[in-house]
Order: sequence, then C-alpha cells, then structure tokens
Amino acid sequence: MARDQQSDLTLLAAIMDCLIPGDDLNWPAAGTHGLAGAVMDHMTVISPDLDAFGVIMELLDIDFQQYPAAQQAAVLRQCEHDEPDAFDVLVRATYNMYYTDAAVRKVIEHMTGYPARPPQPNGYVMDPFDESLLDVVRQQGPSWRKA
Amino acid sequence: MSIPPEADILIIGAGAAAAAFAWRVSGRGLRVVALEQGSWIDPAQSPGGDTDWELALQTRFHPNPNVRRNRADYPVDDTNSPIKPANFNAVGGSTIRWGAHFPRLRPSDFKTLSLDGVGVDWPLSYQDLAPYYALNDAMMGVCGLAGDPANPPRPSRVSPPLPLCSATRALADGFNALQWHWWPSDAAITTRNGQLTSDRGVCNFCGPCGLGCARRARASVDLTYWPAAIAAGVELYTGCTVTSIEPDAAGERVSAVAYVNSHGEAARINANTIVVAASGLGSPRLLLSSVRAHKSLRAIDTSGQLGRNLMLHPTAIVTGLLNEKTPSRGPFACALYSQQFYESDPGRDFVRGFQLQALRGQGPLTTALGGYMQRVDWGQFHHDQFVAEFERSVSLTVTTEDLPESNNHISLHHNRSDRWGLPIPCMHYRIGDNTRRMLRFGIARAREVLNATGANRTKTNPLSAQAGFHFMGTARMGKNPADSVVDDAGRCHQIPNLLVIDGSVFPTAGAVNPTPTIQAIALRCADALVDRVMCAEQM
Repeated sequence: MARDQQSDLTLLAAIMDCLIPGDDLNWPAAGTHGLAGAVMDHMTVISPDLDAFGVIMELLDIDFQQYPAAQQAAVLRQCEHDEPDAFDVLVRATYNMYYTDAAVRKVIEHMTGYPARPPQPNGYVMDPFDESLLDVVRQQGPSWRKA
Repeated sequence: MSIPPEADILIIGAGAAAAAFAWRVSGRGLRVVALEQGSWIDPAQSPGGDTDWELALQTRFHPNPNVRRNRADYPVDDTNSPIKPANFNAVGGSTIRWGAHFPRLRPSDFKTLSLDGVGVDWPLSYQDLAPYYALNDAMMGVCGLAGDPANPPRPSRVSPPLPLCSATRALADGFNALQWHWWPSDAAITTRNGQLTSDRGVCNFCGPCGLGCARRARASVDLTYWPAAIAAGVELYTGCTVTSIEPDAAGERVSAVAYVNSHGEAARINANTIVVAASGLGSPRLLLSSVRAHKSLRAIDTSGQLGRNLMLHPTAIVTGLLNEKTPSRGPFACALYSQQFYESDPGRDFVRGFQLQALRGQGPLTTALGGYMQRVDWGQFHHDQFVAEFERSVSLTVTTEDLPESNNHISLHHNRSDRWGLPIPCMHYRIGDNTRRMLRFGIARAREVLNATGANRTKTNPLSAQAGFHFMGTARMGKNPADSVVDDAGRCHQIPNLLVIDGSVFPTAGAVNPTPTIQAIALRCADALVDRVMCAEQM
C-alpha cells in the first residue's frame, strides 16, 4: 500500500517525541522541534539497505499517536525488542539529527557550558603540562625489562 | 602525468609504512612508483570546523569501512569477528583518521617466547629498531616528554607534551594516589612553533583528531613523508587499485602488478622490486588473491602462515562518572597512559600485559550515542542521563596484547568481490583465553584507578567493537621460512624481490599502538633494500 509522506512524517515525529521528549524548561522534544524530515532522510543514509521506518511502522497500531506517552513508550520498547536492527537505525538517526541541531547545541551550552561551536578554528586554551605531577612516578625507577 | 610502464621499485599503498619506505629509498637514482586506490584528502576541508562535525564521525569519517562506504573503501566480511575493521583508504592511509598516539614497543615485546614462553621471538630487536624509531619521530614531529621510566631512554621530543585537561588531571592524581606508573603521551602532534621544517601548524587542542587536522598539527603521512618523498622524485598515483601481483616466466620472482586506474582501465607496471604495504588486512588479501591467480606464487606461502596469526589488540573501555562538572578537552587519544601492568607477572593468571590509556574530548552527540560508554537510553529519562554523564566523566582504555593464534586469520570470500573484482577479505577472529583473563584483570584495575580519581560509579564496555584499527601478524617475519612469510628485511623467503613492510609482518603485537613500529620497520627495510641494490650495482 502506498504511504503518504506527510502522514509518515507526522507519525515519525510522534515516535521521536517519545524517544527524546521535551521539557518545559530547556529541552525541545525531537519530533515537535521539526526534525522528522531530516531524520527520515538520514535513516536512508546510514542504512540504505533497510527501510527502518517501514519495518517499525508495520508494528504500530493505527491509534499509536492517540496513546498516552507511557503507552507509546511501551509499544516502542516492544518494537525495539522485536526489530532491534530497524529500531537501532531509528534511534541513531534521531540522536544524530537532534544533537547536531543548532538550537539543541545552544541548550547544551546553556546547561553545561560546552560551547555551541565547532572545535575549529578556535580550539581551546589549556595550561601547559605540569611536570611536577610526575614526581611520584620518577621516584619509582625503571620498570622495563632488558631483552 | 601518465603512469609509467616500468619502475625499479613499485610500492602498493600510500599509508604509514609505504610513505616512510618511499621517502627512505628516494633520491638514490631509482625510479620509485607508488599506487594508491584512494585519493588525497585536503586537511583544510576537515569537518572539524563544521557545525555537524560529530555527524561526520558517524558517516564519512566513521572508522569502519562497511559503515563509511567511501569510494576507495572495500567491504570486509566481519561476521566471524567480534572486533570490527577500522581503517582509512587514502593517501596517508589510516593516519588520516587516527589519534596520533605514538608509543614504541618495549625490548621485551621482541622476545616473548624467550622471556615468557608464548608467541614467537622477532628476528630483530629493540636495539635494531631504535635508530629508526628516532628518525621516524623526527619525521613525524612527535611531542612528549623523554624520561619515562617504563621505557628505554629516548631523545628529547621535538615539542613539549600535550596539556592535561580537568578530567585527565584528575586521572593523573588517581594514578599518583595509587603510586602507579603513568606518563604523558608521545603524540605525532606539534605543540610548539618552529620545531619542524614543513608547514605544520601548532595544535590548539580542539579534540577530534580523527577528523583530520585543518591546522596540520596532527601528523599524517600525506603531510610528513609524502611531500618529502615526492620532492625527491617518488611518483605517487592515486585512484589506482592493484588487482594482482604477477610472477615472471620462470616463476621464481615477481615481475609486475596489474591494476585498475582512476578511469576504470586495466593496466600493468613491470617492476624489479614490488613492495606490499596495504595494511595487515589489505596486504594478505592481495597476496592470497595473487597466489590464487598464479600457481607459481604459491612459494609466497610455503609456511602456510600467510593470512594467519591475526592480532587486533582487544580493548575494553572503563569510564568513571564524576560528581563535579569536569571538562574533558584536548586531543582525544593523547593525554596520558599507564604501563603499570605491561610486563608479565607470575602472580597473575595471564602472561604478557596491557596498557591503560586516557580518552577525552567527546562531544554531545558522541556521548548520546554511547561513545566510550553505552548509549544514553531513549525515553522519559533521556535528558537526565545525558546531563549526568556529559562533561562529567573520564575514560580509560584497557589495550591488551593478544597472542598470535593460527586460527585467527584473514581469508578471501568465496563469492563476494569488490568494485574492482577482488575477493573481499573475511576476518576470522576469536579472543584468546589469555586475553580474556587479561581484559578481566585490566578492567578491574581501571575501575580501581577511576575510583581513586573520585568516580562515584564506573561503566564498562568490556570489548570495544569498533576498534579493529591494528591489523597485525598476517604475513609475519621470522628467521625460519617454515614458520614465517618474510625475513627481517621484509623479503618473502622464497621470492626475494617481493617485500611486505606493514603491520602484517609483526610476529607478536605488544600492547601499544603499532604505527611507530610499522614505520621504523619500513625505514629499516628500505635501507636493507637500498644496500642490496647498491651492492648489486657495484658487482
């Protein structure tokens, strides 16, 4: 049966909201945040030989989106058990898109101090190595065997 | 430039060993040609400056060629191995996608049979390689600190050691509290201006060295050896996949290689000497395939050891979770290591030993995906777990010495070929009982030091699957043609103008990253070849 693209994305967004829920304070929910299209595309990149979403969709009841969150999670746990490979693709794709999203990186920066920028070109400023840390080791003497 | 039909020396591959060898034989009046199936990778295009840099680690810079599937990659059947292949196919080979940790083997690593009754002795010693280690350190631009009491003395490093971050500083305190050995890593990374003659930059401690280095601070042989070799006349051709080594009419020597060029056209090059440097995975694959195609090349494998004795350095990762926010910054693989448990101890239930090595610098995505630990669970508590782990952990690898076992081997797939028509390689590998006991002991010691570091709990990955970086042993060197494939100069015992010079030739594995030793061997083999050529010309 032909699949409707918009319906698929709506369902995928609901699943993603279950995988990475939001909260009222900081974190956006993965699906509501608008990443379903990117995740759908990315699943085919990381697993071109497996229709992961199709496999999972076959396991879901038509009323999945109307279930309360706890029931949705229970259904997805069963999916994970029954189709681990497809579910793994779904989780990896969701994490990949969520944790490289600029808004999410801003949240991480706000909460942890980890800068929301790529490693280059700025890198990080670090103090030089302190050789006095090795005083304990230097007292031990050689430990390699001659051969 | 058109590819010549003849060469004095034909090198297959352009990775760590090939580059060192090519440079060392250059400038001697010999026509040296190298064929590489990959291409040049421009470090300026490293995704380290992109906002989705962590995504690149999961896709085009993934260590596993079966996941990465770049054009130059060939599939590997890893069904029968718990450790999956990790490599990179390009000019620079796996040094394009490495951490640049740069340790040497110890003297005892060359004499495991004599000292500990296991494995085999090498046909050369640490002292034989010492001058080549030093030369190689200078060429690669190694930072660090001389004076490690766990290793023989070595010259001062060309630039000072990499700094410790908060997480690895805490780890150093943990080792000191237990009075265990540790030392700052030797690394092929420049940390100070003006130490090298090339256009290498200085590290700014960004972290993900595996993505390449836009600053050209982290070494790869496309930045170090290859420019020097090419300037001295070596010809390196990319997009060329060697499909077979061919024997001469008498069947006593090799005389040519068949290859497919970047346009998909089949061609061949005649050569006086053929040097195989396609890694401990790719080299036995090509040699086995060539033996299958040409009966007279069976002499390569009269010992029956070709493809056998595969060693991979099985690695566990133990992570300590800390109470306080403890930023982890700097080159991910190079901070400090401990060789407290490197040598055999009769009080343990295993022989030989392992190294503990600090890891650092994971980003948010890598943390969520599991990285050094397990994947952050999805669902209601996902964010709570992420916040509890990210920027609050420090990890140690337990990198073990696995012993050569004949059943661990590379074979050719019976019906799957790559895009160039070569049978794909199959890994057959199980972790030996000695190694299992060593891993168990090493994990316990890692937990002990992490507890001393202040970890409130630890998480253990008992075997890192995506860690098959170190392919060793599959065309081992030895004095006796009955139990080895090549001699100490890399020459096949029965076909002396065919050399193997990469990690394939390791008789045993040690417990440290093999690249410095691979390159030292390649330099030594190059000198031996040049000596033979010069002697022959004088006669």
